[in-house]
Amino acid sequence: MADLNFVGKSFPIDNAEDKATGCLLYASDLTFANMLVMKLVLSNVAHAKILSIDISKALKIPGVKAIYHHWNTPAKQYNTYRKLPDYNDIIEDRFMYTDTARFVGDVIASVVAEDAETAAEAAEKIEFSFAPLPVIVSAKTALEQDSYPIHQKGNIVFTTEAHYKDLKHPVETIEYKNVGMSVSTQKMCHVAMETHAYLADYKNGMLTIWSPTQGIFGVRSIVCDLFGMPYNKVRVIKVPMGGSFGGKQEFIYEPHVSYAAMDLKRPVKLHLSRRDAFIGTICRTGVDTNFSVSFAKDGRIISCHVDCLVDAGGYVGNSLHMLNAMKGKLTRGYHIPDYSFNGKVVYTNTAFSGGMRGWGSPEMFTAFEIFMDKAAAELGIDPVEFRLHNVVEPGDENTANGVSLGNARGKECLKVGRKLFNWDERRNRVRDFGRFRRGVGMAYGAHNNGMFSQPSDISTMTIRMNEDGSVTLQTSLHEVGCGSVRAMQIIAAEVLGIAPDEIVVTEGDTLYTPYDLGSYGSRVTYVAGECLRKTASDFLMLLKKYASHYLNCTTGEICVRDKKLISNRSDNSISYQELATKLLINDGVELIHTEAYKSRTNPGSYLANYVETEIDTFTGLVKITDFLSVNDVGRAINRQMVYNQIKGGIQMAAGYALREELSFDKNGNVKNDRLSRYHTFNAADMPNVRVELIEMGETNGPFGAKGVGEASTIAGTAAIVNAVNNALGTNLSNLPLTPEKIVASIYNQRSGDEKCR
Amino acid sequence: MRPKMLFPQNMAELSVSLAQMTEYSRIIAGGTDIIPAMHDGRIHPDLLVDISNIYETTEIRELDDSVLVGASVCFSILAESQLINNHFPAVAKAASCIGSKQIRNRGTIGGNIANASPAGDMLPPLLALDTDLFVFNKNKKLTTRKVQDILERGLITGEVITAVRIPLQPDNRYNCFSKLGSRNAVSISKLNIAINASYSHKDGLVTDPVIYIGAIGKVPLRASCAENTLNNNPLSAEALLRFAEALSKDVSNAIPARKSLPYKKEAVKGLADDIMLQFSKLTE
Amino acid sequence: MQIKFSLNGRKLCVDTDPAKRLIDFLREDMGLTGTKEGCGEGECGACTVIVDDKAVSSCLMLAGQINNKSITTVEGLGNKNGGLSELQKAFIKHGAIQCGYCTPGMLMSASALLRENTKPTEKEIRTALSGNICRCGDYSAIVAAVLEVATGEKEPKL
Repeated sequence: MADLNFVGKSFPIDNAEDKATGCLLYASDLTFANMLVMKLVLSNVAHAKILSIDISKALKIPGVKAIYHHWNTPAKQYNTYRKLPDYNDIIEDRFMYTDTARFVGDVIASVVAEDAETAAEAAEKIEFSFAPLPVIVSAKTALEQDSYPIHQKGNIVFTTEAHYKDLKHPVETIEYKNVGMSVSTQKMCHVAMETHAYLADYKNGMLTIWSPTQGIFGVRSIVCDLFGMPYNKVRVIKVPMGGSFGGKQEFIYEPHVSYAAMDLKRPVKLHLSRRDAFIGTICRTGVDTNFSVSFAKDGRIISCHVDCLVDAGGYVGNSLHMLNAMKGKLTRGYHIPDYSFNGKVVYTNTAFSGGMRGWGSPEMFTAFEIFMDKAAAELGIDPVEFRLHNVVEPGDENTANGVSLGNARGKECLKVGRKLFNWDERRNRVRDFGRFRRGVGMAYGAHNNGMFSQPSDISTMTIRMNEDGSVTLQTSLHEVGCGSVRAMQIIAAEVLGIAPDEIVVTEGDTLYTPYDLGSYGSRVTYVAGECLRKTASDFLMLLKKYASHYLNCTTGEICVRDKKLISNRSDNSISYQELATKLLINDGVELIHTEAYKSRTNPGSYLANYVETEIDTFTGLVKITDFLSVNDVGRAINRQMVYNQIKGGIQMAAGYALREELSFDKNGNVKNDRLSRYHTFNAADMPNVRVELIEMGETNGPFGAKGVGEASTIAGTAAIVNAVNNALGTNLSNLPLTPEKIVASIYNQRSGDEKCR
Repeated sequence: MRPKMLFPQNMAELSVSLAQMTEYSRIIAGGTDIIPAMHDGRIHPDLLVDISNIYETTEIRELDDSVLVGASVCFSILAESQLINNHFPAVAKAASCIGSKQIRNRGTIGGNIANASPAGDMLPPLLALDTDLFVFNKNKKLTTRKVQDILERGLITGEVITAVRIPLQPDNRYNCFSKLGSRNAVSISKLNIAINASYSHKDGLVTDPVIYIGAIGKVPLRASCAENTLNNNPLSAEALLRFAEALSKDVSNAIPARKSLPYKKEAVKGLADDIMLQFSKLTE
Repeated sequence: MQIKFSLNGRKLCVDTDPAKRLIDFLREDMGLTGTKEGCGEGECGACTVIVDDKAVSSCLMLAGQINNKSITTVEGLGNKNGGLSELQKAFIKHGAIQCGYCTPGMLMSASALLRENTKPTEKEIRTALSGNICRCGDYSAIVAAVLEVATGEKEPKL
């Protein structure tokens, strides 16, 4: 690939200095005059009908302004996931404040007071009485006919089936072997360093909401539809975000602060405690998956059947859409001539599931890649060779929807990784039998780039050249901390020949910036980025068109350098500044251009991870001793950020594999609702990770780029699990592989061996 | 309602502060346990008495037969103290493994004892070293109590631990500590263990071992099976294997019905391995 | 209670409730919002400040406990001319900043480490930072930044 001026180089994030000096204001740092503070009262019981709420004592505390609950707020149901006005298949099953607690963390009430201490004191004085109901914590129990209905219509919310045949790659051979396996993946938390925080204020007939959200237009939709307000009277401002990973993509508490602000006519702020974030916001979906796959002798897949059970938790949220998304994940990565899928979504009395980084791809590929390792062993084929027989190639289509997978470079990822990791030699090492045992494993993954062929994948952007020639891009971008704004600056810089730091790119404000679907579905680089590139390119054509009059040449004879438009024909040039000012003052023409871009393609992003682990067979502790990630990214826009995002994705994948689980006891109590008990990988135990990029371009991606932030977390979990299984000679598939599970399996192995003697 | 706070600057002022305590009042030195508990609404003290400004609670001082460590001495100072590392490596090691750097810079030895968490990392070493505590009360009376006694009976209102006194050990006696968490660093212990035992270079035998295991009961327990296997035995591979099995038996005896038993009784063997390696190194 | 302390080099005497958490005192009374709250139980490190040269979690200290002590917050880093410190520059250069929420706490833990150990090894850096959670990256860029300041080696490793 040819070198570009800015694209592909490394830049710190655009507001790095503000972050380094502590002066960047996140939502929880904002204070307004006359502001009130909200504290949530979340349920401590997993399932109970609320019989009465007595707020009289709490209201007497000086400084308490209001206490809200089910019976003094609008009883209209909504779904915190709905980001568009016209979702037909959305189930709206929750109230702002519930009348029946359906999980520990369900919202029962909120207190609004002059300060946080007062609100906390009042919260403790609220008196409830409730009638306990049967608690269901397992998705399998929820499936039973006689399981107590958590919602009126019963616990099975949704069932779906699908059957896709790949007519382009039929396998004309008989089945050699059928392999089956069940894999269980757990609920997991985003643990963004910034917990959810919001402000709302109602003045002059306009409700303003400040939220570190991934979708300002979705917030607006939910709030307006809930309270019957016109969309142009609600302003949602995207404020800096301290991480999200999907956790801030649903619109959970904006209605609560909005209602309070409108009721009390004062600004209201809510900053969730870490515990409230753990139990009262979305978590990664818990899934039980079963595979039954038939293979030809050479290892090619003939048919694949997937059964999938999704645990939605107390409310359905995005689970329908999650299950539908999971339906089409495998066919993005693999040739599956005959693919069938059977899925169900059930309610349980546990935390409600939502999207987390990867949105179904980690859930599905983790399970499948663990299965594929088992299948490879049963067929006697090397795991990497096994993948190479079966993965998609450039130009293939996703048989689930007929969409082209574009420049799918999964094979390159596998081959490059195999070589760099020295896979063949390490895999064929003699197994250890002492206290510390090493093993190697690998996994493959695929992910989407945007929502196509779903209809709503739109970004609209406006580019303006100010009188002095400087450029402003008005976009409804939602920076989640992964460098989206910087990426857009780089793209615009490449087109216009202006340094990235000199380009201003806005984030979303529903009052001022044009529509953008939001920061989801790995659409920001591929779709919003391409929108920006097209908008800037078309804008440049406009500049050239106007300049041609001043330079007496055709637009084709103009090139750009140093913020000047230069005629190739003569020495004439006109600077951006001169052009902008002349046009505005002399001709009454403002240099402003708006373009809406709707995505029409959805290629895959691919990766392969190779891992070595060392297991302490006494304590069950697993050390990751080597990790290589090879990623098909099309083209890196901001090289340093691509590496950092991949590494962050690996941190989460490692947590998913070995330790992160939001777990519940049989009464639905959360066992680890705090960081002292929910452990991520910290600086002491995060291994050094090697990253390789495959940059072979992609159509319709800006300069050939495609998404990496979500894709990067998809394969690591299975690679780690496969490495552990390789070290121990096991088929562990119930995640996370905690020390307890590992020790139990070693103990069982040993007892089994002894029984056999 | 936040609590009232008192900051006595010396022992005389301390007794006056203690006299004002009610059953809801608390002593605070570092505050790493109390402050989050208050913030969470788990406790609602009416008064906090901060003892960290009192000189006697901040010193580490060698006496003829023991070392005095003030109750407000924080874990990072303990971990880095030359005196503590020389005489009581078990104590220094335990202090260095607690929480994160930030926690170690504020959490105190007195707090760890008074909080009496079953997994408290300071407890097995202090018990294995037969540590005394100085307890001061509102009547200016200073009494000596054993750690075990405090863990079992606690303190009454108006009492405070001001210092610990760890007896100096004979030359041929060695002490060490190991812990098992859920990750390498920053983890509450699932198991922790301290050994204090004599070793004779002349005949290569371990004698009079005192071993405490923590996080398997309300208070750390004597690992009597493990002590028996070590006593009068060499540090051979075979003896160490038996030691690990015996330690596992001690765990099984302590928590027969606990859900965590299957894991802990196996995992403790890893701890056995680690701690005897440490012990062997000390004896070299 | 009147609390005498030094904050980012300035000697101050402020009247406040001594039982207020230090993090709230700094963010509300002193208006310094650079110190962030991430968990309220001393596990995430986002609220790390330096008290008498030691890194502490400000959610685990009370305002009354800083009497006669010297406090540094992220706002107090930087050189005499109002510019960035070497550590801040290194963080920016190595891409150690993504969402930025852990950054103030990381900088404070790293600064405290460098105050007591001018040439830490990678292992010592990781131990010193193990009480600071970053969810965006894998800590390698942060460690590289601290190592650069410690060793003076300038090349970022991807």
